[in-house]
Amino acid sequence: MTTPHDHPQRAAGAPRRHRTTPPSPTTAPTPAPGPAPAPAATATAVDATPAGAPGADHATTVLAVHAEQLRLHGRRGVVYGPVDLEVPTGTLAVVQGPQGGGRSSLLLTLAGRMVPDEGSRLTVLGEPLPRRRTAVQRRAALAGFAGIDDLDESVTVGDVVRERLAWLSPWYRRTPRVDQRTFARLAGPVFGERPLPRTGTLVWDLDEVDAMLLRVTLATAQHPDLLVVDDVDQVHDSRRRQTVWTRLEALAAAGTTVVASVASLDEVARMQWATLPQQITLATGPHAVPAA
Amino acid sequence: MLSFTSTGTELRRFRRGLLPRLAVGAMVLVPLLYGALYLWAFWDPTGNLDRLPVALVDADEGSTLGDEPLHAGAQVTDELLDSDDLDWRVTDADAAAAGVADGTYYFAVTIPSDFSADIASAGGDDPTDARIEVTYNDANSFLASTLGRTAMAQVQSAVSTSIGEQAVDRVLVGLGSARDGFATAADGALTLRAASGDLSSGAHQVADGAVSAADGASRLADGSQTLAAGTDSLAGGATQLASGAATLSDGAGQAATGAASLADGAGRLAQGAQDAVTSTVPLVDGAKAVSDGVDELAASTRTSAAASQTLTAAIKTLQESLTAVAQQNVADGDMATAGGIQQALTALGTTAEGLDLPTAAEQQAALARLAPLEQGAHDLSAGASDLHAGLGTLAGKAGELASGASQVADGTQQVSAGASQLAAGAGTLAGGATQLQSGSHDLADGAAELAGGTSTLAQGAGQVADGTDQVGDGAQQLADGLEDGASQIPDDSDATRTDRAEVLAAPVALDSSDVARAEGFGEGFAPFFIPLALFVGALITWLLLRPVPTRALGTPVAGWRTAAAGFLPALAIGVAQVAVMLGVIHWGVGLQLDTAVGTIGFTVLVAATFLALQQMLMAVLGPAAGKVAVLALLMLQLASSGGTYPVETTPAFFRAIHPLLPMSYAVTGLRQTITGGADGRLWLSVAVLGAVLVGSLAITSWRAGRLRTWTLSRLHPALSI
Repeated sequence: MTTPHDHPQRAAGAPRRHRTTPPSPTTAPTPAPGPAPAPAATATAVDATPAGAPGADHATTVLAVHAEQLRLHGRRGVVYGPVDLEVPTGTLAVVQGPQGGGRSSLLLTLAGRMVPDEGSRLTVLGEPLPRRRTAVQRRAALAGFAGIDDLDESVTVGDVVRERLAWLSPWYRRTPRVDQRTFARLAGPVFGERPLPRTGTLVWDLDEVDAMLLRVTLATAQHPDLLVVDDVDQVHDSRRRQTVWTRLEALAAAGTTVVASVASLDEVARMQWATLPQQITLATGPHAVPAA
Repeated sequence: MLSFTSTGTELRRFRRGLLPRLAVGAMVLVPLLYGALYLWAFWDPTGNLDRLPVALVDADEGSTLGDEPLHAGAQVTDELLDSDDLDWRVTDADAAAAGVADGTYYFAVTIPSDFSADIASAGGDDPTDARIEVTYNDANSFLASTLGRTAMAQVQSAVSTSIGEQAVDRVLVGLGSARDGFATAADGALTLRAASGDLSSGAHQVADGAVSAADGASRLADGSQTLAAGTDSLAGGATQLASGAATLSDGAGQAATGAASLADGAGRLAQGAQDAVTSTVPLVDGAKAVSDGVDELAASTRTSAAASQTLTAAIKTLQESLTAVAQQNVADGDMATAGGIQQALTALGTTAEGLDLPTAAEQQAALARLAPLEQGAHDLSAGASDLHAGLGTLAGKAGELASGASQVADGTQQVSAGASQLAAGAGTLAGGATQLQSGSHDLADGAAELAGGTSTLAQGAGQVADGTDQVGDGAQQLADGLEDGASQIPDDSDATRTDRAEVLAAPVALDSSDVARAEGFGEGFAPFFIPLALFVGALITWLLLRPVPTRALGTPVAGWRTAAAGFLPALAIGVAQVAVMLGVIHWGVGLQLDTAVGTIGFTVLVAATFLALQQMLMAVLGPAAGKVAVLALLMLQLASSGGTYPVETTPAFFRAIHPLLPMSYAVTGLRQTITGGADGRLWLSVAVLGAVLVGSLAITSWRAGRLRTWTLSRLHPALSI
C-alpha cells in the first residue's frame, strides 16, 4: 500500500470531543536517558524518527501522553520501564517489544487501566495518572487486548456492536437492534475503503483484518481521545497488517491519538507509512534485545 | 429493552454449534440431575420395603394354654406373611444364618422354640417374656438394618398386641374367679360382723350387771361394817345392863326395909298430931281476948288525942279573941278593962300551960307505937287459929303416910325380887351380844372382799365388751375391704373382657395430628435437594458464563451495570433451571406443591441469590479462588443447612454456622411453600435471601468498578481454573 486511504465517511463520523489540534508530525525524539542499559531491567530505547514533517513547532504541540521514569514492577521482576515518553495529540505511536516485554501493561497504564510504580510521572490527556484514572478511562479506549475485549466468535457483528452501544448509552435508554446503516456510521471511519462486513456476519467468519478493525470500531464507539491497540500481530499476515496500520494512521490523522503495540521489533521499518510513526521499543528481562 | 437489562452477547454465543448448545442444556439440566434424580431415587424407600428380602424362621415347638394347644409361632408367621411389610422368606435357621452372612437376606427374624411356652407362661407361676430374635448384618446395608429395626419395632408392637390379648384374656378370666371368691369372703365377713355384734351386746350386759353387783357388794360391805359397829355397842350395853341390874336388885332390897320403918314412924306421927289439936283450943281463945283488948285501947287513945286537940284549939281561939277585945278597949280608952282582960289572959295562959296538954306530935308517936301492938295481937290470934287447923291436917296426912309407906314397903319388896331376875337375864344378854359382835365383824370382812371382787369383775366385763366391739369393727372393715376388692375387680361380660384384654395388651395408642404433612421421603427431602441443585446449577452456570464480563470492564461503563451484565444472563439460565427442575419434579417425580406460585417465586429467589452470591465471590476473590470458595461454601451449606437431619442433632460448629448461610433459609422457606404451614419463617427466609441477593450485587458492583483497573496478576493469572 503506497497511498493512504481516503476517509470518505469522516464527515459522517461523530464529532470528536477533543479535536484540538490538526494532525501534525511529531519531531520530538526522546533519546534513552542512559548510555548503557541496565543489566537486569534493560532501559528503554525510545527512538522516534519523524520522516516527513520537519520539526516545526515543538512548543505548540499538545502532548497526549507525557511520561517520565514510567516503570512497573511485578512480583516476578520488572514488567517494563523505565520509560520516558511524549506522544503528541493526534499521532500514532508504535510500541515494539517481544512477547512478555510488558507491551500490554504499558498500554493499559497509558489508558488508565493499570497503576505504575511509585515514582513514575505520567500525564495522559492532561490528566495525572494514576490519580485521575476514572477520567482517563472515560477518554481512552482499548482494542486488541487478549482476555479483555475478545469477541465471542459465534455471535453476529450486529450483536457485538449492539452490546457495546448498550453499555455506552445511559442505562434507561433503549438500545435498538443495530442495522447496517448504524454499523456503517460507526465502522466507516475505522474500515475506510475496506468493505464493511454485514451485521449478520458471525464473528468467526470475519477475516483477521476485519475482526481487528471491528474491535477498533467497538473501541471508537465511545469516541476516545486516546486509542490503545494491543498486539497488532494477531493479524498474522503482514500485508493485511499493513491495512491495519494504515487505518490506525488514518484514525490518528483524524485526531485520535493512537498507541499500538506489535511484537516485531522491525515492524515500523517493514511497513509503509504516510508519516513515520513514533517508535517505542520495549526490551525487558534476560531476553532483552537491543533496538534495531 | 432498557440498556442495562441487555444480556449482550453472553448468551448469544451459545446459540451456534452443537457443544455450546449442549453447554446451555447442561447448565439448565444439571440442577435437574441433582434435584429431581436424587429425589426420584429416594422418593419412597419406606413404601417399598416389601421388596426387602428378609429370612423368617419359625422354630416354635408349641405349648398348651389351659387345655388348648397353642402355636403362637405359626400364628405370628402367618400374620407376618399376610402383612407384606417386608419380603419375608420362610426358611430354616441354618439357611437364614448363611443368608444373612452372605447378603442373601438383609436380616433374619427367628421365632424361638419356647415362644409359645413363654406366652403360655403369662398366666402361670413363672411368667417369662416371649421373644422374637432378629439378626442384623450392617455389612449388608446399614440403612437396611435401620429400616429393618423400624419395621421390626412395628412387628413387635403388632405381635405383642395380638399375642398379648390372649395372655391378658387368660389373666382376666382368673381375675373373674377371684372376684367371686372375694364376694363370698365378703359375705362371710359380714356374718362374722353380725355375730360379733351380738357378742358385743351380751358382753355389755354382763359388764353392766357386774357394775351393779359391784355397787351392791360395796353397799353390803358398808352395811356390814355398820352392823359390826352396832353389835360392838350392843355388847357393851348388855354388859352394863347386867351390872346395873345387880345394883338395882341390891338397892331394891334396902328400899323395902326403909319403907317398913317409914310406915311405923308415920303411925306414930298421926297419933301425936291428934293430941296437939286438942291442946291448942284454949290458946286460940286467949289469943282472941288479947286481940280484942288491944283494939279497945287503941280506940280510946285515939279519942283522947282528938279531945286534947280540940281543947288546945279552943284555948288558942279564946286567947286571940281576948287579945282582940283588949286591943279594942285600949283603943277606946278603957284601959282598965283592957288591963283586966290582960291579966285574965295571962292567968289563962298560965293555966293552959299548967294543964300540960300533949302536943299533936306526941300523940301521933304514941299512936304509932300502938299500931304494932295491935297488929301483933291480931296475928297472934290468926296464928293460933292456923296452928289449930294445921295440926288437924297434919294428923290426917300422917295417917295417910303411914298407910302409903306400908304399901311402898310391899312394892319395893317386889321390885327387889324383879331386879334380881333382871340381873341374871342381863348377864345372859351380854354373852350373846359378844358372840353377835364377832360374827358381824366376820360379815364385814367378807362383804369387803365381795365388793373388791365384784369391782374387778366389772372392769373385766367392760374390757370384754370393748374387745367384742373391736372384733365387730374389724369384721366390718374386713367385710368392707373384701367388698371394695371385689368391686375393683372388673365384673366383665365375655365381650367386655375381650375388649379389655385388647386394651391391656396394647394400652397406649398414638394419636397424632399434623400441621403440615409431607407425603414421604421425597417431599421431605425436596426442600433440601432443590436449593442444593440450584447452588450446583449456579456453580455450573458461572463455569460457563463470565461473572464479570471483561469486555464491559474495558469500557467506562459503571460498576453496577457491569455486575448486571454478568448477573442477568446467569439469572436467565437460573430461571430456566428452576422452571425445568420444578416441572420435572412436579409432573415427572410427582411432588405436590402446597403453593405453586409461592414455590416458584421462592425458588427463583433462591436461584437468583445463589447466582449473585457466587458472582460476588468470584468477583472479589477472582475466578480461581472464587470457585474454590463456592465449593467450600457448598460443602458447609450441605452440612449445616439442616436439610437431612435436624440441625440441632449436628455438632456445635454446624449449629453455629447454620443461621449464617443462605441455604438454611432456602431449605426452611421451601419446606413451607412445598409442605405448607407458611408462617413468619417463610418471610424471614425471603428477607434473608433478598438481603443476600442485594448485598451480593452491591459488592459485585463495587468490585466491578475496581476491576476496571487491572493488576498484573489479573492480566497474567498465576492460576486459572
